Amino acid sequence: MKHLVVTLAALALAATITAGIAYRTGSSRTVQAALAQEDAMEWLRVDFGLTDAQFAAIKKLHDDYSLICEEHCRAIQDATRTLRTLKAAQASPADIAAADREVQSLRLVCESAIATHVRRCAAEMSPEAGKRYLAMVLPKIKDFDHVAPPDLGLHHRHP
Amino acid sequence: MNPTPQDPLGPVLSAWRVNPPPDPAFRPQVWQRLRRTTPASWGAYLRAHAGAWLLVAGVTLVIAGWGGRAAAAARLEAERERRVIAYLVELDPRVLALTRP
Repeated sequence: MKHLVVTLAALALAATITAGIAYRTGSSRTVQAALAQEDAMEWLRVDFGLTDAQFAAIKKLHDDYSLICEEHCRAIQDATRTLRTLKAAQASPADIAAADREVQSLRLVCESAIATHVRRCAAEMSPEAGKRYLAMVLPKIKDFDHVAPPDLGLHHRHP
Repeated sequence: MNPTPQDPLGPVLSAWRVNPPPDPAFRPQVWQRLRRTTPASWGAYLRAHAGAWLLVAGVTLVIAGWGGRAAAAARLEAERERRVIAYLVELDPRVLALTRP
C-alpha cells in the first residue's frame, strides 16, 4: 500500500512537471512578449510575421487611416450631440428620427471604412497571415460600435 | 528423568536414523517464505509491476503534456482576443466617439 501511494505521488509530480514544461513551451514566447507590450503595431509585426517592408507599409496605412478615423469620430460626435440636443429640446419626432438616421448612417460609413482599412492591411501581409488577420478582426468590426471594454486603458492618439 | 537400564526406549532412540527424501524445492521455498515476511523495496515493487505502471505513467504524461499545451494555447488565444479588441478600439471612430469627451 505504501509503495502504491509513493508511486502515485511520484507520478503526480512527474505529470505536474510535464504539464508545466508543456505550458511554458506550448506557445510562442515572442508572441506572448509582443502581446504583453500593449503595442498594437508590435503585436502585428510579431504575430503575423511581418517583414520590415510589410511593417512599414501597414504602419503608413494606419497613419493615413487615423486621419480618416479622426474625421469620422468628430462627425459621429457632432451628429450624436445634435441628436441629444433635439431629444432634450423635445423636437419633433421627424427631426429626431432624421438625426438618428444621420448617426446610424455615419456609423455604417465608419464600419465600411474600417473593413476597407483592415483589408488593405491584410493585403500587405503574406496570404496566410492576411487570411488569419482578417479572420481575427473582421467578425468583430460589425458589432463593435457600442461600448469600449472598460479595462482597456484607451490611449488613442490622432496626429 | 534419566532412563533406567531396563528401559528399552534408550537403545531404540539411539538406533533411530531419519533419512528424509531430498527435496530440491526446499531452499527456494525457504527463501520465498523469507521474502514474504520482509517488506520489498520500492524498486522491487516497481519491477514487479513494471508493465502496469509503465502504461499508467505513459498515459498520464501524455495527458499532462497535452493539457499543458492546451492551457498555453487557451491563454495565448485569450490574450490575443484582448489585443484585437484594444486594436479595434483604436481604429474605430464609433467607439472613440463614445469614449472621448
